[in-house]
Amino acid sequence: MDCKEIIKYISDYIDRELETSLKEIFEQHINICRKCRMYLNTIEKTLIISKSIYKEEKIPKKVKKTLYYRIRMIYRK
Amino acid sequence: MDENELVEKAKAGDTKAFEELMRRTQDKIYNLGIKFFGNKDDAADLLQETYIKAYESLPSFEGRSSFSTWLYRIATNFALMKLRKEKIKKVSIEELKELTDGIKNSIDFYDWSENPYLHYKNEELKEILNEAINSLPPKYKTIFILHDIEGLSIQEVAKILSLSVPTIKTRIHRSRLYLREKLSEYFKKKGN
Repeated sequence: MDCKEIIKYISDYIDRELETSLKEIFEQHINICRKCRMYLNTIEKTLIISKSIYKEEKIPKKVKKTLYYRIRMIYRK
Repeated sequence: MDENELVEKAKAGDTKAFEELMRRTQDKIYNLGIKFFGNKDDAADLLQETYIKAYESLPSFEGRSSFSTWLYRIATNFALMKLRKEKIKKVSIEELKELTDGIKNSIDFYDWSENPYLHYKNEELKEILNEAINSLPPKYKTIFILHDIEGLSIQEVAKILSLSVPTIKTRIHRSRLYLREKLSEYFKKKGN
């Protein structure tokens, strides 16, 4: 497997979607190829930072009130 | 009471059961809206439209997926329609394809894994990435958010969007490479 193929399979590897034999070949390459190891590392870091962008927000009271009001109007129909 | 019992009661016309289902899921749906649109007003719209549609469609809900998955489906379809209408995408699907084909032909191995600007409190970095996620075409963005941010499995996302597993995988892969590229550009500017 060359570097190009490694990149092709990188998401499957992250998602644990690679079948065992392919996973072994992938890991063998990653262990000896610094570039691909770095690429995998930076993709994983991209995902970690992506998750850190979002904070859980509370629904504003006004929004909740409107939601339940609108739903209750529909019950009446 | 478990979700299935509540759904059955709600289907039989028990509005309290429906409201209990709402209470259990509303925070997730609202926050999904914030992630899709990046603002509270559109998230509030998504929240309302999702539950109105869910209530109206409840008789046709067959329980083949969980109620929450079904809600995600309604919410995501609403988001996709709205995002497409707004045409706020900075990168067209063709452009994204070009870009990722480019990645395939010449892989950018720029190493920023040890860059001093790489730390999770770097707000500038988060801003760059947030902009990049928002610039993804809607059909990539929704999948990226459902899988990589919300943590839904590939199979669940495929079900929610009625798409094949390989399609979901391809879109996730392309989005990840694209976002990594955007960070590479940032680090290249910053230097090592």
